[in-house]
Amino acid sequence: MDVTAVPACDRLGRIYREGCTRRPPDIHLHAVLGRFSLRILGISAFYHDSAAALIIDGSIAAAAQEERFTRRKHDARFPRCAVHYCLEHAGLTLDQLDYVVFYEKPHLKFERLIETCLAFAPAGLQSLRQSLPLWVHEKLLQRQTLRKALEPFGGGFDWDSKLLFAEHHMSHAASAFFPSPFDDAVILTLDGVGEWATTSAAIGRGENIEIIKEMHFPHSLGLLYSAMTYYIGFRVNSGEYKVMGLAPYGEPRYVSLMLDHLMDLQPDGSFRLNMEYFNYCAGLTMTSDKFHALFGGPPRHPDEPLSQRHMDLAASIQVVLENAVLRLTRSLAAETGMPNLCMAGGVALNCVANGKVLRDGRFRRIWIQPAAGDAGGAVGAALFAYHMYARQKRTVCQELDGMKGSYLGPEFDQDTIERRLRAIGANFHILTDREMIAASVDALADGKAVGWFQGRMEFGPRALGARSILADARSPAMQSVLNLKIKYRESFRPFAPSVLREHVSEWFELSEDSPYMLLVADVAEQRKRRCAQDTGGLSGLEKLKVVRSEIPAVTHVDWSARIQTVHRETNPLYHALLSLFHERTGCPVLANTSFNVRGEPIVCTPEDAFLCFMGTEVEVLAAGNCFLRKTEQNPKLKRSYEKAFAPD
Amino acid sequence: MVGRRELHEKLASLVTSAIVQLLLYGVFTPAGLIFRLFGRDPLRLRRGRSTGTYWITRQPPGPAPETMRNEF
Repeated sequence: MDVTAVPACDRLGRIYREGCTRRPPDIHLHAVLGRFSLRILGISAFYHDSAAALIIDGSIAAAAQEERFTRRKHDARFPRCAVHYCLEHAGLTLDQLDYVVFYEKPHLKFERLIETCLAFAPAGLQSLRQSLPLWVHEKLLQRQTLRKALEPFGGGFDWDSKLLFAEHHMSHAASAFFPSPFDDAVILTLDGVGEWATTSAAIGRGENIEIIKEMHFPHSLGLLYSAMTYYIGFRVNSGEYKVMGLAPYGEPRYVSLMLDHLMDLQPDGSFRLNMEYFNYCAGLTMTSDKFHALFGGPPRHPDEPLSQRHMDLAASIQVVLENAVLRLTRSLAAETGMPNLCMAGGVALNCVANGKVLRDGRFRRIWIQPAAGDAGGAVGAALFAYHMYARQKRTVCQELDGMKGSYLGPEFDQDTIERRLRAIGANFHILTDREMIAASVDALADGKAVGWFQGRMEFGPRALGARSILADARSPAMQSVLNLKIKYRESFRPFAPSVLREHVSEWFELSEDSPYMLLVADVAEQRKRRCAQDTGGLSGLEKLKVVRSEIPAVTHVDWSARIQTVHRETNPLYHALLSLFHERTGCPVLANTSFNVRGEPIVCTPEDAFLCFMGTEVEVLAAGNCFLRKTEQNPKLKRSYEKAFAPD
Repeated sequence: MVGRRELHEKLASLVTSAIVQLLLYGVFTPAGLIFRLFGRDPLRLRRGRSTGTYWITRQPPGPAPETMRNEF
């Protein structure tokens, strides 16, 4: 493939020409598989978190989000670099693909815009002024837009028969069911909005998925949560995680008010929103004056300090969401009698709610797509085309799942890492795997934060031990150090533990796999600090000061933790690191946070990792077998990262 | 050249604004009012008595794979 044919991907082209050409075994996979292999490219784009995914014979060969390459958080533009990565990874050109699948139906989305205008006119001038020209271009002319964007990747593609479109919620449902370890399952998808659907329930059996019922825009759990995210002063489509993290600091004193006024929630979990309280249909804000009057004031300005009221609002919306999700899953379990549940859609990233669904016990097993947001739609759209349009058999991965640990992104070989680090002036030692792991464990046990840049980059919003910053979870000061000196973010935000799968139940109230940090459970009773059990007198951020367990850096103020179980099968190197840390300290847990600062996409390349390392208080970087100490670097290469990115 | 581009952008913005206003007040508003008068409510905004569920049954369940060829 002539990479120069994609002019805007110089950065990525460099990555792949230099970084991945020597990487066996799935490079040039198509040559091994021969002409009978089926190759499908899935694309999600033009809303937020655009991404591309390549499916070869039903297996996910590559998947990545555009933001990682362009360094623009939540980049919604056509995923040119991600497409380039996927094709280059398998050594394919566009004409060698069997199908390209877009993750939603643009004309149905346009229809929704028109119907919304009709329902709210004459209101909505500013909103229509902003959205109509964009939507005409992006939705009505989507086929042409996609064709124009993809043509630089090769000619000879039959656009009329090979460009396909999947429904948005079907893309989510397919991303949740096809890679899951289940032969059959109920599939629940929940997000802001797709074309019309905001919530859908489907049944997956073998190679088939059928959506049986839906709820439609503007009645949306995702938009309800986003509206409160906006009202609390965080950014929509990004700050929802902060609301979830803030919730345990508050008391859910607004739940009744929300259920009485904002929504009508039925016993089966279905709901309607009272649109008098919201403004997202016809305005440029999420909430209306009536909403502000109900909750006692205007939305919080992002620079305004968080008060107890904001924490109580966060706690309340979290309870409302959990209540709705539990009613939905309970009624679906009763209705279908099926033992397995799959989930996707942005709301499925609410791991606190997911943990409650698991503990509720109505489903024996649950599996959640790690890229549950729109990025994962690229995987789902391609898998839907593979199994249902091309009618290909499905092989269920019974062991873990078909996501390969979500390590589906770019990887760099040792020579490339060395050359590229040297080129930007880094000083490093080259160690064997064993030495590198031992040196990292020494640094971790010594209280240092370690940048961990290893193997293929994760697909989805969570860092899972490929592009991570790691730290000793036993340190009482580490949560504050990581937030304020390394991530440059709000002090209240919790950190997640990575724990050896073999030891998860000794440290947490969880015995199931949670490889993607999508389940929250409490720290095990025997690990809690007794003196911290009664902290009822403390309010708000004061709760942060209490050491609550043997692993305080990853214990949230309600004793919960967002758990990643680490499996030898999917990430042997990270498993080995945790095993040695366990051997050395008796603790199989590390604090794991994404390798970035606030507002920055997770690092992708060795240069990204080095720049973030030099711009923060991370003291050690393990990039492949290169081991870097901050004290040995040229101080002139330091640059302030604190204000390098716009706050998210 | 910069001046010409700015002028072009301003003109384009004015034309777009005029078209959007024409559409909103000349088409969507009268059509929307008539639709509402006749009880059309595709966004289900009207608050009536609850029927026990707000799920919308998809009949037949789907979507059929063949629909993937369409943008709708």
